[in-house]
Amino acid sequence: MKNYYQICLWLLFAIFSSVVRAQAELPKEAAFWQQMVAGSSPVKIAMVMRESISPWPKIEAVNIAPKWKIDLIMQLHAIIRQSFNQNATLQPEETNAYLQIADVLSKADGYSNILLADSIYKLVIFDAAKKMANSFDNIKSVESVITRMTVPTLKVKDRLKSFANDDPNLLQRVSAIDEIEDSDNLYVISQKLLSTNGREYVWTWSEDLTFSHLIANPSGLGLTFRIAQTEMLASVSLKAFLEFIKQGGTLSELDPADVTRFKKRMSNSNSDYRYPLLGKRRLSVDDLLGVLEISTDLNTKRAFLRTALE
Amino acid sequence: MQRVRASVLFTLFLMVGGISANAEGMKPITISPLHPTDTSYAPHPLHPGESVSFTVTVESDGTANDKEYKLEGSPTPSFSGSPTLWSRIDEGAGNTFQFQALNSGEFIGTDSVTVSATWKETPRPPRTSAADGVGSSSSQPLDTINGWATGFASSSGPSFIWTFDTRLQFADGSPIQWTVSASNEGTTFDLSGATISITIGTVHLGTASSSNAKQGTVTSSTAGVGALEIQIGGATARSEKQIGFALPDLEIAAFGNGANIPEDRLPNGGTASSPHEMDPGGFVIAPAGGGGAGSRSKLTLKGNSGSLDGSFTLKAENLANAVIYTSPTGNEKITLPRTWKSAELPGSLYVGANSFSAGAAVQDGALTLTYKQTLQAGPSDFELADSVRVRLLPIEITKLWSDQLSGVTDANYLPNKTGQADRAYLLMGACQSNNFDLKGHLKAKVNVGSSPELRDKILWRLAGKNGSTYIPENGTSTYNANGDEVTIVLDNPRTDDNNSYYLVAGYDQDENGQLSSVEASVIPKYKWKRKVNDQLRTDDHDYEVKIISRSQYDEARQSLNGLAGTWNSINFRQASRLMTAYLNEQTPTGATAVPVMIGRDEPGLTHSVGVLFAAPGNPGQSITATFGPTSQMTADVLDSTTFNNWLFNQFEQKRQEVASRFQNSEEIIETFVWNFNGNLSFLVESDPDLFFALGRANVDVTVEVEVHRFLYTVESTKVTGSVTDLYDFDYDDRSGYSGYGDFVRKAARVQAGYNTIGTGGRVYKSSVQMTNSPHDIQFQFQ
Repeated sequence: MKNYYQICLWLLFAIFSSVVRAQAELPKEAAFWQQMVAGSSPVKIAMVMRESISPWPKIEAVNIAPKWKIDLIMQLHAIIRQSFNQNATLQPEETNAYLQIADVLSKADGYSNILLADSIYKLVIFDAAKKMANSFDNIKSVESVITRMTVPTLKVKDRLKSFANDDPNLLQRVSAIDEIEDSDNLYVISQKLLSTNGREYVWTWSEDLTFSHLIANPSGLGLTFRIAQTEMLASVSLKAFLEFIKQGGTLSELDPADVTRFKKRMSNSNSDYRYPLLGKRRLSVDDLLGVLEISTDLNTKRAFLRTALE
Repeated sequence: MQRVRASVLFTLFLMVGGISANAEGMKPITISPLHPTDTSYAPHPLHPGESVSFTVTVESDGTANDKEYKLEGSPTPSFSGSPTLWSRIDEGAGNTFQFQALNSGEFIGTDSVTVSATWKETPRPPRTSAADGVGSSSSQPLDTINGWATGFASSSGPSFIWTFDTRLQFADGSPIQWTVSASNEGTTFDLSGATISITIGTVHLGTASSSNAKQGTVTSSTAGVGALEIQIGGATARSEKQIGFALPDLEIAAFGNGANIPEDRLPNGGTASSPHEMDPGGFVIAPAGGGGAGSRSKLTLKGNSGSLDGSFTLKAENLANAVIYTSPTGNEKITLPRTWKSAELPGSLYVGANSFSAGAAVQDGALTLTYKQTLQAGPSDFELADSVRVRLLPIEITKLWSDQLSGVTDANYLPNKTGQADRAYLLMGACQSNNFDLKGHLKAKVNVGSSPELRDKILWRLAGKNGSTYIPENGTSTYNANGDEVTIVLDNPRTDDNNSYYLVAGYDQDENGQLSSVEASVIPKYKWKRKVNDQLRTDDHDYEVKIISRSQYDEARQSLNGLAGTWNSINFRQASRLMTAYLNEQTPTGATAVPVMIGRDEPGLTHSVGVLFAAPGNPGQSITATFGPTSQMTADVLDSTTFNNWLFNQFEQKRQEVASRFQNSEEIIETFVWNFNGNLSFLVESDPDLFFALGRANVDVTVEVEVHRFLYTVESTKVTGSVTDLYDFDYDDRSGYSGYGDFVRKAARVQAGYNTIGTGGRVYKSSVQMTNSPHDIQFQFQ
C-alpha cells in the first residue's frame, strides 16, 4: 500500500515538475505543494507530507519569505481551519494527521511554519480537553493522544535567535538574547529584549496572538510565548491531568476553594510539573481546571480557539 | 418774548376792549418866512389802534429880514415811506394841514410826515425920479425861503410769547410741544392767520384755545437745532429760544450678542408695550462663584451722525458690579461715568459683570446715555437721555453630584468628593430615564440670584470640548421649587472615548431649548484640591464629568469577558476568576461571599462608583470574596515571588532579635512569632496572574517561624492572617504596562455603569485568608 502511494506521488511530482517548467518564476516545489494542498484535507496532506520526496519548505515570516511560501502557509491554515469542527471531536486519523502536519511543519522550521504548527497543536489540545471533559471517567480515549503529542521542547534562546530575522524589533535586540539567564521566565525575558521600558509586549501577548495577526505582524517574542503556553499545556497540564485520573482523582477534588484533597492525591507523584519559563513553580488544581475550561468555559474556549483559527 | 420789527397788516388787527383811540395831541406847527421850520413829536409810541393828530399851518406871506415874502405855490405834505403811520385827515384845502398818526399795525416803528413850503421875496415897486440916483429897476435877484414842518410818531409792535414743554427732543418723531401768543401792553392779537415754521423738522399745528394764541408740536427725524418762526402778513418773528432734536440712543441686546431689545419710548410719546429695553431689559450673567467668565451683553450707542456737536455721557445706576468692556471678549474696560465728544461716541460696548455673591439679590439698574447740548437763550445746557435696564444675575454652583443612584447626593460629587484618588472629574454611568433611554443624570446645588424670572432663563448643560470651545450637548435642566437645585440630564451620552463633559450654563437666546456654544457663557470652576508630593495643591478646574454610555459599558464588558477567557487560556486563573465575578456580580470561583458594607471613603476606592450606596451617601452592600486558608488563591499568594520577597524583607529586620534570642538560649530551635503588615505589589514579571488579580494589596499577618541555631536557618514558617484588596479600577491608571491602561479603563467603565446599565461592575473586596499556612522560605538570620 505504501509503495502504491509512493508510485503515485512520484508520478504526480513528475507531472507537476513539467508544469512548473512552464512557470519559470516559481520553483518546482511551490507548484507541487500548492497543488497538494489545494482542495485537500488534513488527512491527505499529512500523507503527502509523510511520503513526498520533496520536503515541505521552510517558511519564514512574511517580510523575508517569498510570496508563494506565505500563500502556501495561508492555504494550509485555511484547510486546517475549514476542517476543524469545534463542536465535534476529532477522529483518530484526523488527530494523527494534525499531529503529523504539525510535526512536519516544526521540523521544516521557519517562523510561519512554527506558528501554524503551534496552531495545530492547540487544536489537538482543545480536542483532547474536550474529550476529557466529556468522559472524565474514561480517559483512555485521549490517553494515546496525550502520550503521542510531542510538542517540541522549547529552548528559548535558540528559538528567539531563530526568529531574529523574522522580527525586525527582535533583530535590533538580538545581542540581548545572550543576556538571558536560565532562570529567567518569559516575562523577565521580555523586559530584557523589548525597549527601554521593557513592558511593551507583556500585555500585547494576551491580546494579539492570533495566527493571522502574527503572520501579518511577525513577533518572535509573541510566538515564543504562544509556543510556551502550548508546551506547558501539553507537557504539564494534560499529562498531570492524565496522572491525576490514573491516581483515582475525581472532578470534585478539583476545587479551587480547597486544594487539600488534590494535593494529597498528587503528593505521591514523582513527575516534574514545573514550567519555569512561565513562572510555574508547582502543580496546582488550576492547571487541571484550565484544561477542562478550555472546552467548557465559553470565554476561555473562544479565546483559546481564536489564537489557532483566526 | 420778542418784539416784531416789521409791519403787520392793519386789517389783521382788532381792537379789543376800550382802548383809547387818541393819544394826547401833538404840538401844532405853524411855519412862516420868519419861522420856516419846526418839528413836533408824538408824546409816546402809539399803541396798536392808537392815533394822534398833528396840525401844520403854512403862512401865505410874511416878513423876514425886512423883506416881504410870499408863499409860492402850494405846500405839499410828504410821508416818509409806505406804508406809513400817517395820513392826512383834512379836506386838502387851504394852507392848513391836519394829519393823524394811527398805529394800525401796518407799520411798526418811527414814521414822519413833513409839509414843505417855499416863500419868495416880493419885488418892490420900481423908482421914477432921477433925484433918487437910482436907475429905473434893481439888478439884485429875489430871495427865497424854504420851510418845513415835520411830525414824528412811532408805533409799538406786539410781543410774542413762546413756550415749550421741552427744548431738546429725540429726533425720532417725538414731539416738542409749543405755544405762542401775542400781546402788546395788555393788548392781545388775533393770530388765527399766522403761520408757524421751523428750519428743522415739521410743525404740526394744534387747535388753539383762543384766537390770539397758537399751539402745536414740532417733530424731526434728523438731529438739528433751530427756532420756530411765526409769519403773519408777510412779517416774520423768530423765537428767541432755540429748540433741538438729537438722536441719543442706547440699545441693549436681550442677551449676549443677540438682537437688540425694542425701544421703550414711542415716537409719539408714551411707552411701548413690553418687551422693551426697560421691561424686561437686558441681563448679564455674572461670573459663577469660584470662577467662570460670565456673559457680556452688547450695548449699541447711537449719536447724531456728526450733525451736531455736544457730548455724550454713559453712566450706570444701581449696577455696582457692572463692567463695561470695549469688546465681547477682550479685557479692555472703561470706567463709568464716561463722556465722549459727539463725534467720538463709540458704536458698541459690552456690559459684563464682576463676580459677586450669589446670595445677594439681582442687581437691577440702568445704563443711561445722556446727550448734552447748548441751545440759544439757554438758560443752561440741555440734556436728552436714553436708558436701558440691566440686571446682573449672579450664578453660583456649590455642588454637582451624580444622580445615577437616585437620592444618593453625598457619595459622588464635586468639588473634591469624587473618590479616594481625588480625580478632578466625576466618573459615572448613564442611568435609566423615562423611556429606557439611558441618559446622564446629575444634580447641582445652585444659587441663581433671587429672580425666578431670570433664573428660568438660565439653562444648564453638559458640554464637550474642542480646544477651548465648549460645545453643549442636548439635554434638559429643571429647577426645583425653591430654585436652588437643578436637575441636569444629558440626553445622549457619547459612545466613543471622548466622553468628558463640562458643566456650562447660559441663556437660551434663540429659545430652542438648548444651548449653543455662544450661548454657553458660563463655565463654572471649582477649586480642585489634591496632594502632589505631599503638598496640597489647589487649582481652578471645570466641573468635569465622564459619563459612561450603555454602548461603552456593553463594549467594555464584552471585551473584558473575552479578556477573562484569554487569561484563563494562558493560565492567569485567579485574574480570570476575579474579573469574571466582577463582570457578572458573582463571587469568584474558589471564594465564599461574606456581606460587607463599602463606603465612599473606603481606602483604595478610586471612584465613587460600583457600589450601591444608600441615600444620602451611606455605605452600600457588597461582598468580601473570601479565599479560605486551603484555597488555591492562598496557595498562589504564599507561593508568589512577591510575598516571598516581602517576607524576606520583614525577616531582614529581625536579624538582631534572632541573634539575641539564641545568644541567651541554649535551645537548638527557637520559635518566633511576629506580626507584619504592609503592602504587596505583585509584579507582572514575577507573578503575572496575581498582578492582574490583586495588583496592590494590603497584608496583615502573624508569622510563626522556627529557627535552627545553625546559621539561624529558618526551619519552618507558618502564616496566619490575610491579604486584602479592593477590586476596583482607576479610569486613568496609566502607571502600568503598555496596554494595561486600556484594560483598566474598560473595567472602570463597567464599574461606572454598575446597577444602572448592567449588573457587571460591582466593587468588592478580596480577602486571602491564611491560617497556620506553611510557607516555604529560605532564609538565614545569621
